[in-house]
Amino acid sequence: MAAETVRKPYVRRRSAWWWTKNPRYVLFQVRELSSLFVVVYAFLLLWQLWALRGGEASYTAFLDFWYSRPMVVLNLVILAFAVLHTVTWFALTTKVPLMRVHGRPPPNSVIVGSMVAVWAVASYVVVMWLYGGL
Amino acid sequence: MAGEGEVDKVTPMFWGLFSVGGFVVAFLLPVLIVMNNLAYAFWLVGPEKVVYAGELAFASFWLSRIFLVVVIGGCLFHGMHRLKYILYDLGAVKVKKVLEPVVYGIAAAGTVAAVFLAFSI
Repeated sequence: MAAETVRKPYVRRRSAWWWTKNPRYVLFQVRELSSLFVVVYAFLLLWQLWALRGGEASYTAFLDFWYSRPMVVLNLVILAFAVLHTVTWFALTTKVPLMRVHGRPPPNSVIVGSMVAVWAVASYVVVMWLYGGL
Repeated sequence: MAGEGEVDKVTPMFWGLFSVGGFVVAFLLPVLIVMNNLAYAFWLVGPEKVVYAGELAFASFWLSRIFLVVVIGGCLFHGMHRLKYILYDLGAVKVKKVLEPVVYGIAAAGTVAAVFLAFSI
């Protein structure tokens, strides 16, 4: 800072519920909320690795819990938020000009199309890799 | 926050991890949830595929270990960064100095745990 500031900076007061005022803000916060489920899933994976490390008996008992009905429901919810993240993330990449072709960013359809293509290939590779196909 | 003449290198690093994590989550998380949690529950794969020996073999392969660390670390650094801004929006901006080490500390600790677990199986 060049000059010394004397007064305290002004921080506008805002209700914690400001985002309920407009549907767009609600979608924004729901999308942000997907981050919570992403974090929860990371911890579920750590838990799974922990059980796997514990040996066969521990892991077999863990699998009963892993495929119990509440866990399946929770994972369906996590999946819904993960897909919301994927879709909104692809839409977001069109707003950030990462590269230029002939001096201008490529059209949105090309960006989103290539994202969907990479997604499809990555998903196929993971399916084959994990269980050798469905 | 950087003072006069200093370049802030910490904030861009966390934004970078957020961005890399965002791509990891977008490309890999949906299929991983389907395969790891839902495929067997919805009869897409048979019980012979969901066994200790098979998953141990998967987690013992070096590329799978890197994959697991990248997915867990990507999820944590992306998710915790975003969670920080949700908490700011809900008014936690007052405790910024405490919140930042906590959120990134959890992400870093989880990533270290992932490295330890994945490479010790």
